[in-house]
Amino acid sequence: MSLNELLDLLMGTLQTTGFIYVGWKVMVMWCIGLFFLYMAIVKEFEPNLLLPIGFGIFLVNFPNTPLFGYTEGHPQLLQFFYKYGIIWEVIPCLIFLGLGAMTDFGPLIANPKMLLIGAGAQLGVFVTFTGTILLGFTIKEAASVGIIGGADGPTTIYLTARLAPHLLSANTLAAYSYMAMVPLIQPPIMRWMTTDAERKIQMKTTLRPVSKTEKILYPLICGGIIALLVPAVMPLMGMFMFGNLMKESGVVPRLTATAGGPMMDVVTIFLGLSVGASMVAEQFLSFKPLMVFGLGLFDFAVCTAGGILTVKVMNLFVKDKINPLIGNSGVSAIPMAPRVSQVWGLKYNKRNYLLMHAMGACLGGSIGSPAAAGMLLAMFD
Amino acid sequence: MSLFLIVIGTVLALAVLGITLLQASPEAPKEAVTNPPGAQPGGPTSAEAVKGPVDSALVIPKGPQWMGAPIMPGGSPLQGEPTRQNYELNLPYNQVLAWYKDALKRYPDARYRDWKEEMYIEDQGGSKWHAIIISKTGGPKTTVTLVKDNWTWIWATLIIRFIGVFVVLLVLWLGLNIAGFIMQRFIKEEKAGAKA
Repeated sequence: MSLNELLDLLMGTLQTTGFIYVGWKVMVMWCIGLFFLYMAIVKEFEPNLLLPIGFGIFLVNFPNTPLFGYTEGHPQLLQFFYKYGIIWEVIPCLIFLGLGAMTDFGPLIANPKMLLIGAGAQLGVFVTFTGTILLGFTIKEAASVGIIGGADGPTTIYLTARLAPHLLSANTLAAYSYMAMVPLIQPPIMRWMTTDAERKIQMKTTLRPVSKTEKILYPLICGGIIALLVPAVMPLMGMFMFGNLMKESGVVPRLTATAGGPMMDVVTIFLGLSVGASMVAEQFLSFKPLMVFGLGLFDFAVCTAGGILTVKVMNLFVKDKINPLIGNSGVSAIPMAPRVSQVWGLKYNKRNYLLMHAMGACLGGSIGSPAAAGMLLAMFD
Repeated sequence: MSLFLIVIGTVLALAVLGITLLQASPEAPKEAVTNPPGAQPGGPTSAEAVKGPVDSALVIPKGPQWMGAPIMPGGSPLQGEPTRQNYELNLPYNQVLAWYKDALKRYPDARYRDWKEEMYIEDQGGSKWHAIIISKTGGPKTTVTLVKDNWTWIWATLIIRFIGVFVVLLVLWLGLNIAGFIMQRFIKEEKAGAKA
């Protein structure tokens, strides 16, 4: 073997490594991936999602790795999860199935007017839509960014995969990151928008009892109404209500346990890895995905404000006043948002237990967010 | 509090980085086609490109256009406004529609709404036009109206849809109240029956 042949062989071997393709962009993405791993492991911010997302970002941004592309027409591992789980919108629907199997709608059924707080908290979705268009996004992109404020990860993924898949990684990351930061983002807004007297409004310590029959009827009623009014979002809501029906019927405990347990865990792993893997440097490090983070924060803030404002308007018409501190829970960040309401309610009135009322508002938001998504989807049907 | 400041600082830093990238990149093309790192030149794999929104001006056939919307040749311009342009063509509706479908065949964000009196071609992408309206006169002449993107449509549709969310949840509230009322009546009657 001559020296030239040897050098060619060495050069060819070197080109199969990733070293020669490393640039500043992939290094930035490594840092971003490691940052999310730090948030998940050290700060324990939404670790179930941020850990697989962070690792997916870290892994896929090594050059020449056969992870997120196609080999001879066949999707590689993470591309397979992404294409058939996210783009085909299977994973968000399965997550909603699991969530339905874990959710108790009793606080909402006992006090259905909390649904209006969930509706009012979608204000940020539509305000951010406008701001996003002003920044040069298209209508479809604006709709997918706006839904971040609903604090509903599966709905964000569902809508973004339909309307603006190139923003999927940024939107999903923004949604889950800000959901984890609800205890940081919401309290200042709750303080600014409420008076001392309003924060001390005492609400009933207990809600009316809800029968098992009502809990069984709820998914049927809710599913039927949503199917008639906003059919575009039925893949999500249908699964949500099916999971809830399984739980409330009590006759399929194994299915319920599987849906809310191992199935959710498996789907969450694939979701996190797929979303993280879609954050490749060339796509993520550009104007629009990075602006999504700023817009997402604004969106959350306005949604929180929308929920609080809705409570204030409702108080003009109701006899039993509602404490506006539960307005933040219209953003469906279960269970952090109701916890924030509870903690801050107790701070101003040590006899004020707002948790169950806030849960009702939060559950209202869990219906309001898909309803808003359905309204946005209908724009493009 | 310090963590809150770190988070806000990170968000602002990302936003500044985004703006810097926007200003640094030359006349960014409307079509963004990217490949994952594994598909770099010399890499062992090929990858499916992920496309962003496209400006129609880049994909329609060369010829007269308004805000990126194609203008069918041979039309007589009628009185227009800065936000609307009207043209009259001496062709039946079907031929005009066929021409526009052909002109827009490479534009993926055109949505065709076949209404009773007109064909409404709506832009759902990144172009500056909002709609192309082709009237169904049924005669030898056809009017084509080109409409520019406008805030009136955006505000109106957003307000209607926000109210729509309230309507959906109000209907659900009504349904739950009725179901709750009926259930509570049944429970009271059962308890009364059991006592008797």
